[in-house]
Amino acid sequence: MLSIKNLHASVEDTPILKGINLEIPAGEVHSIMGPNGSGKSTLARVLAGEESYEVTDGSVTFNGVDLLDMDPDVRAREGLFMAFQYPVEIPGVSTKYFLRAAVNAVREHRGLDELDAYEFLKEVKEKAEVLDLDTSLLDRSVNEGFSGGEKKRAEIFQMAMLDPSMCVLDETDSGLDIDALKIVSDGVNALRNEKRSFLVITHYQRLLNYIVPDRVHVLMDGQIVESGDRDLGMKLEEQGYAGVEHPCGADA
Amino acid sequence: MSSTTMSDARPFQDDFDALDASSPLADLRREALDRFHELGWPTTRSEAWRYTNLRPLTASDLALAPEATVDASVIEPYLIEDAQVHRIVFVNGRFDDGLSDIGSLPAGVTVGHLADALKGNADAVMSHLGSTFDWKADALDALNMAFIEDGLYIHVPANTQLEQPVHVLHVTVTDPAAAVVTHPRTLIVVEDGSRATCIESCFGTGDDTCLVNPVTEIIAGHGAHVDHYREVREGQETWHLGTLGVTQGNDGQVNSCCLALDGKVIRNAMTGTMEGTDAMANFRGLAWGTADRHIDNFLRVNHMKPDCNSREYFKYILDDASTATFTGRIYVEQDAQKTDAVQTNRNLLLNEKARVYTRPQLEIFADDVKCTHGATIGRLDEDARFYLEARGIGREAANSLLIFAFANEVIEDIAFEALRSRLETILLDRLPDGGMFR
Repeated sequence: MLSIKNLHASVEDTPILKGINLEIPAGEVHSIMGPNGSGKSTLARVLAGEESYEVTDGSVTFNGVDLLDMDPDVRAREGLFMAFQYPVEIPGVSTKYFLRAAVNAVREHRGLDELDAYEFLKEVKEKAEVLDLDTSLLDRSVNEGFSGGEKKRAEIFQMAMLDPSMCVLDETDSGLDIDALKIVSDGVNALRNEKRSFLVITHYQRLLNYIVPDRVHVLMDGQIVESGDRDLGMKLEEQGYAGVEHPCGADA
Repeated sequence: MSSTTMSDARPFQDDFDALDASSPLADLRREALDRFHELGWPTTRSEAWRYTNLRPLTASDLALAPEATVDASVIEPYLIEDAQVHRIVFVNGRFDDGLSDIGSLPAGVTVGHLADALKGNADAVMSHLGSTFDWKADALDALNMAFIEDGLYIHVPANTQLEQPVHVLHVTVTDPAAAVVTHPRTLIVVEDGSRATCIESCFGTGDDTCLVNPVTEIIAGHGAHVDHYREVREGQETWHLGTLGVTQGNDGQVNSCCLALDGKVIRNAMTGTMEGTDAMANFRGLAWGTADRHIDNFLRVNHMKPDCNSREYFKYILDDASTATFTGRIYVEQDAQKTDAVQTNRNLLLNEKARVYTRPQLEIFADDVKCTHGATIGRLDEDARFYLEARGIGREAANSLLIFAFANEVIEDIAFEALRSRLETILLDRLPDGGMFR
């Protein structure tokens, strides 16, 4: 599904990612954990195609195609979805209109018919229910005035609507209380299937109690320093990131 | 029709002499024309016209637009669909009975033309004309006054709701052979405890140079509620130099929104005066600059009595080599304690060649007031654009959606649903891939 090889990326000439290798097969949930500043969010944003991150080396293929060669909107239409750590508030843009345009852009790309207003609303209702999302939020401007929990739920809701094959969750748990965390996790788990893959980026193991990963990778200073199964997350919780050997030998 | 240039001793004198000298307005008109000649065309040396240069206009041969008729198909694109309105049409400043459809009105309400109203009740009408701002201070206002022949007159007596909006269409028939001038005049008198909505749509039949010089006055009584919109969709070579005067009594609310969408130069000189206490005034504007269009909002809000709120919210979208200016003065009289006034001018610059000059001015003589002003000048938000792109929306469509969003903040609160949705459509139709978001 997603194959990252020797990925290097910089922001304003400062190297952040320093050779990441990662394979995520179809249907698997991988988690990336790491301390602040390790490059977790940079990885998410490079995958989504944000311009201010410059890829200096390496490759990413998505379903066999060069991902880095695509514009961000094409990546999304090809089935890559990033749930933002900080969803952007866009005053004046109705969530409903925005989302219908997005859904139809994606559908057109995949050779599907446009959803008309009725079909779209039917779909909205179904998907919103799973996430316990108040559909009146959709009449508001995109993310504007949403609570932290509402924003994160809205991200997962968008994910459900866009039906991606590769989902990148960038610290979706940050700022969520335990109830909201459960709702968001249930929403994600409802979307798990043998074709869809997830990359769950988080600082805390807590999220992984709800979204149980197949693999856990530890990112430090722009490199994956350890990979393992779910137990690796538990170990990190007990010992902290200091318990993981630093690739450069420095005492973190 | 005769033509007039600046080299003539008395510009517009021949046009003026052709007007009906027996009109009750004859003296006022003569005084106004004298005043126009005294002042001469405004120049950029005057504060009010500092950023709007009329010379390219006044250098052409200008002449009062002759009587004209237009086909129903000309006004059709400007009609508001799916809404019942009292429609009144003026062509070159003159009432067009055939195109108007005023319909039935509540008892006591007048929606008609000034020429008619003057025959019936000249004193009452004349007491309001020119009462809402100092028309003698500005040459164009004086010129409009000098050429009042006809216009829209709305009168809503006390405690009366005019449920259906009045839609007035000001059509200018442009002429490739001459730069015509029209002076549309609108007088809206809404007495105590009453309510009315009026939409003005200004447009032309072609892209020949012309001057449209409209003056609208709104007199809102105690507890009156008036919604007013002016939609400027003139020809591409039209100089639309409009004036709006508003006075309001106690406790009422006046909302006015100026939508500057098409024209070569679009000016909106507005004076709002809150003569009573506890009133609310809401002045909004949206301007769209493309090519070398110039936009000028020149606003003055006068707080004369305590406990009034005023809001000014003006947004400009400036593309290509368009230019714009915003001058907003808030004046607070010594007696006007607890005034709450907020003024905002936000600008979205889409091209490096576009320019905006924004000038907030506060003149405050009371000591217990809240007056704030803010101006921003920015470009499209890249974070927001990336967010949209990351959802599968292409770059151009994402830009369009953000421009629409910027504009929509002005129009989304428009209470008259059919107008709001029409404006949405107009905006989206102008934006690349805008149709995606309908």
